[in-house]
Amino acid sequence: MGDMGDGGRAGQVRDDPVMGYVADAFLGSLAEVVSAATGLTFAALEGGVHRVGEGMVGAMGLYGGNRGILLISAEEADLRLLSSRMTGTPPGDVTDADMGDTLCEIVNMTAGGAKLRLSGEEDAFTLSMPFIITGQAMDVSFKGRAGVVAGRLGDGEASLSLRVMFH
Amino acid sequence: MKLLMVDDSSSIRKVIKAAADMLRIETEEAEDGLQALELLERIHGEVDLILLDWNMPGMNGYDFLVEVKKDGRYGHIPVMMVTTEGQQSSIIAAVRAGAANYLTKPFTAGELEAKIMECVGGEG
Ligand SMILES: [Mg+2]
Repeated sequence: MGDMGDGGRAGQVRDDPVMGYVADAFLGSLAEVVSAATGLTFAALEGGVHRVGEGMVGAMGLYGGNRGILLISAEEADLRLLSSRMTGTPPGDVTDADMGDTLCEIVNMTAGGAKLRLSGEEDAFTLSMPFIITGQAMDVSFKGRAGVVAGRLGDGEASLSLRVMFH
Repeated sequence: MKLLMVDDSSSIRKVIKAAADMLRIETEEAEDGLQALELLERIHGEVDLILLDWNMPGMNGYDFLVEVKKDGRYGHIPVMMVTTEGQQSSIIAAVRAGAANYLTKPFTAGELEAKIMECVGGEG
């Protein structure tokens, strides 16, 4: 497994109850983050997720009991709107650095919320520092028995794609 | 009244600054624990509240909290953790290290303002 170029579909995930639970935790966390930070109500969207490399990608390595990577991506115009709504900066004044920072913090808060939802006696995973990937339509390969979660959330104005891969 | 916000995210610092402005509270800001310690030194610890992120590069929030609480000059300043680390174990660890309050990200502007007022003893 590993080639995520086509963007995994949530439908594949739902067939596996464990990964379905993980998907609900991450996508539920992302929806809560967007709502609290921007006031927008994001719901699941049909269709595939953005390819990695379309727009901006925020990423975070997950360590500890479950190891993997969280990727959240968005088109530039959508990120501009989200950053503007989160910080109160007029959309025209939002810089690339602002968009990157907002996306990193969305990744950070989404990972934290998912960790809270998935942790029992033991922490589900440990967070690390989020980072930004930019470039052209890259494919992501992952070693090992990759469990994959993917989905896209949005409203009429903006959308975000989320992908989590576990070893 | 002045608060010090310590968070590596400029977006979060803007959100906190907006809430503080609403409450007419002055702000100082730092991007990580080391920068915050330098700032405290420079302003002679003259802040009434510290809002502290946990996950930051350089010195993280927990290590900064421990440093501040053992320093006789700053130990009395109330610290509120503002972090995505929402598990019970993290909250307990922070409270044991001396945190006075805890707010889990994400939060709404209203939640943040209410928590700040709780910390500075106002009536909101
Ligand atoms: Mg942080």
